Amino acid sequence: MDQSEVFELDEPIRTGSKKEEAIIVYPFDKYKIEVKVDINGKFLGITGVRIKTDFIPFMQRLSQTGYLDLSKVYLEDSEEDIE
Amino acid sequence: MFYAETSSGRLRLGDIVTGYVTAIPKQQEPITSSFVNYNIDVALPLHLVVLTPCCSIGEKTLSVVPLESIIEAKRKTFFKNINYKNDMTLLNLPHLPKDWRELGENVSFDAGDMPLYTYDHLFFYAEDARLPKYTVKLKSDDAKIEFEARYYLIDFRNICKVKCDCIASEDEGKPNFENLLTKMLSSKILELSIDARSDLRKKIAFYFSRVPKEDQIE
Repeated sequence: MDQSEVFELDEPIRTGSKKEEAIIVYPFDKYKIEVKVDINGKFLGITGVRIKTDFIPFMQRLSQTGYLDLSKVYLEDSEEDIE
Repeated sequence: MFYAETSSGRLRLGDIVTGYVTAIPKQQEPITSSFVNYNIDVALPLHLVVLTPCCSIGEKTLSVVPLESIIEAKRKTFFKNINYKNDMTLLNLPHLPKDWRELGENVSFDAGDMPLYTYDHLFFYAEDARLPKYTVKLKSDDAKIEFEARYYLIDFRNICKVKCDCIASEDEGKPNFENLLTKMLSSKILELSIDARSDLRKKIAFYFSRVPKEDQIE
């Protein structure tokens, strides 16, 4: 990686704010690289590497997922709504 | 990215396809004696979605489901939420209660930290220039709003089976496989990205894996 590379910030760091550096998560292959950049988006260093793999088996994750019933909120169109 | 930028050269789960006939039997009651009082609605939907898992596509059989516009599905009230109007595929994913609240939904605070699906029988397709646009007319208080949209959805309750001679897998070892593949691919309009296909796989798995209360073992 070119150390002088300038990363594009999703949200610009505003002048005058206390925040003068930011961490950008940069997807790379199976990994998520946490890159520290300065106010201009210039590379300052790597602060961490995370693996994208989800270690919880799919069926276990599925059993831990619930349901939100919105059928009373978004009613099916009535006949008068259909033009 | 909801759609793949390039085709993988095969039919895949979630593909939008065209050219397959659906037949839906309709009957008044279970037929236990005379084989009467039924009819079959035959249709050629403009677009369908492949719901056979990728590895099981072959042997002249395909599970498909009609792709409907939000208007055809009578679900235009989704457009009243600006978040879904901007990105209706948000409804494909399980969200934490706090994220549902940010989307404008009233989620009770005893919902815990569990991710929650909604409309588990529906999967929404993102807008794309290759899909026909349609006009949405909404009444909002006294005002009438009109805009164009290209969102579509499938309803897992509408899955049909199609038998077509050109549906084959390379593993079947047919000598004319390349010819069949060309015909299969001529029906293909759009392919989902890997992430979107994964979202579809997870949601349909959730839909079919729900255990009814009476079957739950304490």
